[in-house]
Amino acid sequence: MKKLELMPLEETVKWAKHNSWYVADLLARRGTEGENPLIPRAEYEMLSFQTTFLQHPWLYMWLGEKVGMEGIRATCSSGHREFGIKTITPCNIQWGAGIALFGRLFLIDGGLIGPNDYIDNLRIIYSFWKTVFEGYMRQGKPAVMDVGYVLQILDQDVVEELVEDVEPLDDPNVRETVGRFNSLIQLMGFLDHYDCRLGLGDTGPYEVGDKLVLVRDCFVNEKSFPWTFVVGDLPFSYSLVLTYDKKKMMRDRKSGHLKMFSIYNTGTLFCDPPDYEDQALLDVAVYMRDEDYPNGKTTRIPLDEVEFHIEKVEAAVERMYSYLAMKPWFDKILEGNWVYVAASLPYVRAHDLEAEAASMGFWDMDLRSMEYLLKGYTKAGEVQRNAMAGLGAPPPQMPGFRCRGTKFGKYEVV
Amino acid sequence: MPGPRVKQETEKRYNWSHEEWEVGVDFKSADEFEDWLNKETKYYIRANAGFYGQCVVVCIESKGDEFLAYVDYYKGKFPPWYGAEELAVLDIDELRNERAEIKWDDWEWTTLRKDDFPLRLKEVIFLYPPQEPAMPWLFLSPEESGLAQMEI
Repeated sequence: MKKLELMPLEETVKWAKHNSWYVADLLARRGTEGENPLIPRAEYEMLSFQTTFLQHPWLYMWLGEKVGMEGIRATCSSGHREFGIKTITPCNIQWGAGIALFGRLFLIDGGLIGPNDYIDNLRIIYSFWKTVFEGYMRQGKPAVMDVGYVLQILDQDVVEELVEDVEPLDDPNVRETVGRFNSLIQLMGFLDHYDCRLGLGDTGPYEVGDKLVLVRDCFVNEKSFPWTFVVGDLPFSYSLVLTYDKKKMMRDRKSGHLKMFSIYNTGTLFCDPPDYEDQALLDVAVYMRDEDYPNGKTTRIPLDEVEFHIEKVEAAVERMYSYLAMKPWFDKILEGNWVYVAASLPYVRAHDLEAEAASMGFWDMDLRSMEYLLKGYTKAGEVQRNAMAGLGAPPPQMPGFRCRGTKFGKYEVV
Repeated sequence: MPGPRVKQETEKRYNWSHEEWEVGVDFKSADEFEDWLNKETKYYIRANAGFYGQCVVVCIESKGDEFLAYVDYYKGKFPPWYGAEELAVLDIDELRNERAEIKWDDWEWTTLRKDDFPLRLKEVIFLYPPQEPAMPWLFLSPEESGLAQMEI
């Protein structure tokens, strides 16, 4: 029988520690960014983390029955050959399961559960996530940090073919137009996903000759969200293939001018100095895709047609801001919740199981997550800060181990 | 003081651990133990947000009892909550040369306690393997990666 094979309970310790490191590493960087006052991020995160922690283990078990361990490992095989689809994006692939792990952090930090509660959920989530990652990155590692913040997903022959189509950015006007387009599609991907990174992501850098290459995907119109009608004239995604001067980057790293050029597990590029990307940028190619995998196709957009798309995206951004401004606060908590639940869409789309998963309860809400939200609501901001720092990812207590005792080991739900 | 012996795969307590050491060394104080960890630890997980971390499971004999405990230790801050001014001067390449410190106080990943000393350290278990950078020159310091000696 096909099934998800579960790791031993003790092994969850290894991954809980790993989780604590990379979450703190990633979200310390996120903490340097601003907040959108239109979006109740902390509150919707609290609800959605709990929703996925309580429900998605059963989605993963069901997927195990449908496709088996090899099928789970092959979840991202489409992302090795194509881009502009969600099976390539680290944010979705990582955080589909990672969001569920945050549920544990939030519940522990909120004092609502202890480290040993829902222990089966923890085993299932780690087992599924680890198996997906065995087939995701070229190196088969479970986090970008493990391979020095380089996220290589596309096969090398695909990248080499893409580099043949890039156009130079020597003309300052073209460079400025591409710069505006780059900013706008990232903003639209961010907004369409309720101000989170599930709507965009970079992979790379890949190496091709004297160039480093990033592939940047921005999902500007996720068609499973009801607000697709607000942004409905946009394609599913826009993508950029960007090339950088490798020798310049090596010289700058050697001299100390370049301290960091790191892709994180959200597919986010962090540079030090922060504006370094533009200093080394050489060429670009622009694409769009009408539907997510397994449907749709990718089309090249010549650089002289980019201005037309800028106008479309600008209009959609304006409509999306109006939509968010008019929406009641609590409705936005619910809508944000569904965005995070949707982080697991690539897991089902990869096997063309989206409709069947929906009929099996993919979009339903376990009422315990709403109960926990109400109990933790007033602490959402404080809990978010701790959980985002990787705090609240303690090891489960096990026989033979020095434990932390009842005060920290077990909480009562009051 | 004899050095640790790396266990064979078949001797390991956990088949999913990265590496396990048989040790058998007595420590009178927490400081002495921290010195030993700094001397013997071969690698840390480097996180560009501002820390190098390592976490081990230790098997301890203390006060007539034997138990397993976690020890979590860092170079730099964990969690990496740096102020803007601190971040501006933080050099992650240089941080690797600093001494690691155990996070002792009220920390979920350090369950060994200072009042467990004196103790005998019997085993050390490394949970997680070292990083394997896909582009060492981009990730590691120029000295570590060899970029410093390279003609470009």
